[in-house]
Amino acid sequence: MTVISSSSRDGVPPPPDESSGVLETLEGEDFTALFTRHADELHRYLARWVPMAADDLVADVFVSAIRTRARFDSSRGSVRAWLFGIATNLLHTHLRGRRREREAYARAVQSHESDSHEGRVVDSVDAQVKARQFAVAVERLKQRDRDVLLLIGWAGLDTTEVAQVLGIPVGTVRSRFHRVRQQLRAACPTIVLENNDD
Amino acid sequence: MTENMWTEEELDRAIADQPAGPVFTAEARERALARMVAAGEAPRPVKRWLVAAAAVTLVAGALVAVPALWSDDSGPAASATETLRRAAAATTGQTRPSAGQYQYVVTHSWDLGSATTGAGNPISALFHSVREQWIPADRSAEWLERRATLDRRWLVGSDEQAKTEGDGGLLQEDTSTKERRGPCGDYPDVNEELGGDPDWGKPCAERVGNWGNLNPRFLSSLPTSPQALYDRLWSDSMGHAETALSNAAGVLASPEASPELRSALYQALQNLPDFQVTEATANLNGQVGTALGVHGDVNRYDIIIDPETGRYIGTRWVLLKPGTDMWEGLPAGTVVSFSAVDFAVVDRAGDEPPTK
Repeated sequence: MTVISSSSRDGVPPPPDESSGVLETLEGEDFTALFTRHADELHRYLARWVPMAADDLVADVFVSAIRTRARFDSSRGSVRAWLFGIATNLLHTHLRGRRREREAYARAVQSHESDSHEGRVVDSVDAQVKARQFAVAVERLKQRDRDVLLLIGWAGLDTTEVAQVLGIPVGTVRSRFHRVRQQLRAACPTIVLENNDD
Repeated sequence: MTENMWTEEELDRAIADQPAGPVFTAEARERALARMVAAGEAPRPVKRWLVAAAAVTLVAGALVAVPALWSDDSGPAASATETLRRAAAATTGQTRPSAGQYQYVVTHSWDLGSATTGAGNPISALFHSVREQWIPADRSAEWLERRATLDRRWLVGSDEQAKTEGDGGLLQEDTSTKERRGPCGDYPDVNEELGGDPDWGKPCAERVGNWGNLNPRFLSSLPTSPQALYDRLWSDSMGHAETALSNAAGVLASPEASPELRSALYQALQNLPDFQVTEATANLNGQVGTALGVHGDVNRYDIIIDPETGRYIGTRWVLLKPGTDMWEGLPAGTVVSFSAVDFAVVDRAGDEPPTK
């Protein structure tokens, strides 16, 4: 697939007024293919942040993409990075008004089974406590650091793609990623969780 | 508890162990795709999709209220249109601070937390937290915010069970009060330089605001003609009924919204598709009002208003199906989150108004 085909920018320019535009069939097909390819990974990323809003935010990403397709510049990065960039901006806006949702979900620590039958329960509880410590520490991060950490750690983007998403040099991504990991490694153990399982 | 730094492996494991979030259901996927296609075919989506529920706000007269944990979904006693019409006719505004004074805003929130015990059983509770803000009449001056976690109310499980089986990390609560200060609401640990909001980094007086970050300039820019206001709300909400309702609720919960705007908004919401009275007498611990909501796949998002006074009581988030994942063990109809907000005018940052 030639993503967001060049037809949307070169061959068939988008209508001057987006609000009155009708997509060419080819563009529609391209976006449907884009959706097929990227919707699930976008949802996985967004659902970890804002579980209740992820369905809508995925739709928002593609609605925004299809409406602003003329802005996509393949020389500046991949379509995947473009979509995650839109998702990141929508996420920021969403979180500003609805921070509580993320805070609430950070409490929702699920169990994770260990391969070791013998140590399963102990491992699970330990993992949950650590996951909870991590969640609290992440809530305290600066947004710019959090974006880098989780676009890599959750979305699975590489540093080059994250640079494209955030519009910053790849060197900045790498240094920021290293710094935030160090920061978390130091901060997480200092977060005291109330253990009732003594 | 470990005092040393985590290893790289421990950090990676903790990142991977974060809750995965709900799955992207086939139905939700189809709706998202349909919205995208509609956006490409028309200036505005003609399909109006209901959405999953969102966080909840309750504006209440009482500063501290215990949540009603159930919604009986008893059905309408009056139409949404009639309820909103009465509210629009009766609505009033909030007292605003004079120069040198502060708008005091206090939010009591109950949010769901869930986990699995060491024995593998689901447990969940509503956690009660409070956030107080002192917003100066001159918004560019220093704001003050205090946050604290107060108590909890079990939905599934108990203190005894958590103690016996292990709480899975659920019950950590830092009950100390956190205080932050910053001009124009820019608190020091918030970084917003990553684009996405045209106001970020601008001087306070130059910020235009938006639905998620209301300010007087944005509020005064909204039409007070109900139809024009609805068109703006619907357009800005990209054709999502829940988003539109959430945006409207934010305005209704704002002490800076004028009576004219509130009234227009109630009238505007009459146009919201599939917006129905969901409970005639929704009781949130004595704060009785009419609930109107939109249904998502798993949750329902309600606002609750008193149609006789026009007072906006709040919003809530109701589970529609027996819970799975983070709602494991919760029956349909459970109110899984809400918060209570109240306003006052005080003379100094840090002052609390007399209890009503």
